Amino acid sequence: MKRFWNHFIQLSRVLKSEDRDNYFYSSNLMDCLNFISLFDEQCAISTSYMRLADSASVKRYGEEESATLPVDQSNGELLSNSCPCVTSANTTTDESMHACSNCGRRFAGNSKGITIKIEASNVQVVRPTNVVTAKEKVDDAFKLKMFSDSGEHCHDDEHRHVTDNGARRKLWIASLLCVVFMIGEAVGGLLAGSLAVATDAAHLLTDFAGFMISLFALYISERPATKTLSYGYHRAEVIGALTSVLLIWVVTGILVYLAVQRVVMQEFEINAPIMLITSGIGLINGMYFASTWSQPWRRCQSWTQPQGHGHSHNAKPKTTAAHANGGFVRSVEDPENTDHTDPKETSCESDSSSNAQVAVAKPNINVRAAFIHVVGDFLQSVGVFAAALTIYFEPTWVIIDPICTFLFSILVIGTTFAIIKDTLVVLMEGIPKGIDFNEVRETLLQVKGVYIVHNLRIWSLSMDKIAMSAHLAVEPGSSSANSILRKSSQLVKSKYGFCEVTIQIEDFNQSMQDCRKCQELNY
Amino acid sequence: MMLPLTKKDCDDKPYKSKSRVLEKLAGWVRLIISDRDSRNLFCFLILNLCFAFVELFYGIWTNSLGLISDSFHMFFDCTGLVAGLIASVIAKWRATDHFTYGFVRAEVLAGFLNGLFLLFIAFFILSEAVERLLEPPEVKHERLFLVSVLGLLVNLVGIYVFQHGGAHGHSHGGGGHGHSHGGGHSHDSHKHDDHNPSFLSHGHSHDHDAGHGHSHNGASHFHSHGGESGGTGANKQIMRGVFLHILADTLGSVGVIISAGLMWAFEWYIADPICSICIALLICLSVLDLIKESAFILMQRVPYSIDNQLPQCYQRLMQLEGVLSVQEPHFWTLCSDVYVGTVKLEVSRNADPRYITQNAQLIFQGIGVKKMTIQLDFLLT
Repeated sequence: MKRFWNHFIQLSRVLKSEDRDNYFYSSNLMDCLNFISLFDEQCAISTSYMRLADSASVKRYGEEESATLPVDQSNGELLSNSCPCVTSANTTTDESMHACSNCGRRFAGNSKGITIKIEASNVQVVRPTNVVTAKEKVDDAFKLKMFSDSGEHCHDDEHRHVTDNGARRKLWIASLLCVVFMIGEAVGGLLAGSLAVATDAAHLLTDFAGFMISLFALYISERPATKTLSYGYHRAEVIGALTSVLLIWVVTGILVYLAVQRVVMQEFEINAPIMLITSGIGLINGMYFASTWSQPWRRCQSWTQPQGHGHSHNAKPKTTAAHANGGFVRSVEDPENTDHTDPKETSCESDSSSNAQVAVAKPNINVRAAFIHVVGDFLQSVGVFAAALTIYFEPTWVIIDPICTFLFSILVIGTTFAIIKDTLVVLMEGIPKGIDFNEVRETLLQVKGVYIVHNLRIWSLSMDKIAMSAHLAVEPGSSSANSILRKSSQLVKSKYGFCEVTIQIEDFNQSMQDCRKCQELNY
Repeated sequence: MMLPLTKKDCDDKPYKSKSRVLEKLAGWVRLIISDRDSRNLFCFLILNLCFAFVELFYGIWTNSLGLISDSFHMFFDCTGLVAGLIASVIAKWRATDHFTYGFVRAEVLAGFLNGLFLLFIAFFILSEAVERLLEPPEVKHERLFLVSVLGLLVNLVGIYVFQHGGAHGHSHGGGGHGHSHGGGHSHDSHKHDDHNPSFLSHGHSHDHDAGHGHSHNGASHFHSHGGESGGTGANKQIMRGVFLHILADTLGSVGVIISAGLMWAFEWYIADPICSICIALLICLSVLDLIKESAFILMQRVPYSIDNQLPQCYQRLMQLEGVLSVQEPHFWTLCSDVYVGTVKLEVSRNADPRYITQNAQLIFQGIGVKKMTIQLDFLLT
């Protein structure tokens, strides 16, 4: 029982958006510094001199350390040779913003010092005015790694998930409208004593349930990764969408059953005028949604950005931190993060920074699921409306009611197929659309020194995040192994936008040629 | 007469589509029959279908709405069995280049979907029961008593079979087990007289083998029991889901019988909806465990069985010569007992990659993760 309560408390904390925005954590010190450098000057900072830890050393598991940026106490300016990227002194050229001329990292001009506490593996940013700690800490299994060269890291930086406020707002509005209509119809149905209205209200109730599930899934998927859910909560989106769509199936099944019953029993209670009014309201509802939500299907307007991303170190200072790492695919040679787009703007620039084969930018899958709910409702209303019209003019053709129900139920089920297929591909660990397995293999084979690619596995973490793992057999000679690893990782990340890439390098030997288990997948 | 030297087999006569479809079907049936679990499933499905058809025809012949609606309910339940069968066939397909891990996840998905289905059914029973509470209809139960007893027997067979072999058979559970289909779930059918006796009574009195599963605490025992004895590792989730489905049906039949008895003996018409509510709650509770486990597998959570062994593994990895740190470990379950993992190790410049890779793989194989991908990052300093 207590566990439930704790879960509930945690959940309510997560759902409050202020909490989420108040912390930043990363297992990479550089990222942390970048984040700090975006603070504006109002953020008061306490003074402290900090010793920069030995940048070449690697922290052992379980140790603690405070790394700080050296600050000139008299005027509060950061000492130029304090940038963790260099070991020799450099002078800065930029005066308003204190910038390191070597790596370009910037620090707020009149900051007097920033404390960064590094604990075992994660990094907490402690802002002295309001000390905030991470509500979710990446667990102790990770280690902090500090490189002296700011370039290559073996892992991608943690990125802030761009909270998809547009999607959430739409869903909240839709549920509100749904509730309003439902209450109206329930009251109207009670007063008029009509069955059609009551079943329509029940249908709206399931729509509402679908919206709630989608919203819940959207909120949950924002949570950061934990030790046990090491990839994060992204899959929650997909599971939520699947549940939501299954609800539609169940409801449609029940409606079909009712219709069959009516046909068998030959007893119809039809009150045509009320049916007309009810379905008319439903039609208006549906048309409103169709008009406001029709944008998602256009390719360039996307509500979530493809999350394939490379190293995104240098963010432009004017952007807010939330957008700084709204990752786009970027090759490592290009140090500037090209741009970010506000989720609601029309932009096709997401693909421009690289020849990325990122999956087609579709709206968030939960929004799609909610949209399918609305479409299903709309179709049913159309059916009822058509039936009501017919019965109004020809009162003897009551059989048209169940027939319409059947027809439109089939249509509704048909609309759900696309989204169910998408979710099933993700949940079955399949390759998302737009990525070709053989092409990825060819890309890897092109790296110089790679002889064989085997155990290539590509799967989706969520609709727009793709992960890959592979074993590469390279020519024996250990000096090239590391560079081959780097090259292949960069290549595959920049070309396809995979967000988790793990490559195991093995020495090639002749028996691999004939090893049956290493044969390419036959299909 | 000279024998033909060559045989042209691929140019002019393509397979007729009909025979190809039949061949595919035959192949699937063979696949089903080969595995014991799915064979049981298949047989039970046939049994249930027969029962349902018989009930349907009898109902049409005697024009009894209760029987017809109950037979529909049975068909509806069959879908759970069919889902389990389909999943066990799909899980055996080979990997293609669109599904690089193969199709083994189908098993987990089937368990999840079955669980969701049962949850939805429980909600609808609940709503029906509430409706009946507000407007108690008159019930007639004589004819359906026999049918529900028969259904109970079928269910018991299913439970017995699947408790040992695991497979989930949907037992239709005979007449009127409190599911919403059992007559009167819509307003208009309240007018019909031939209602099913309502629903389910306390299943606690039921004495089949898994009887200890009825209480809330017992639910967990119950699942682990069913799960352990259920099939091979690859089929575990399917079998659990199917078993829960049968259980729900059994509870239904028992409920019908007991409530019919109560109403006949004591005229307690209020017993009906109350029993339904209880049964709905029981179904909910028993299914939550399965849903939770499947959901975590689908969310790629670290497998429970290696959860506490992982820190030791990291320590042992750190002790390998040359390893400086362990980064980004990810472990997840592909299907029951098949675990996949990736990890990135930072190693010093002059470390021996083959030694480290091999030992790391051994370490992880020791805890059961057979598919590992290990990336070694050499520090440049």
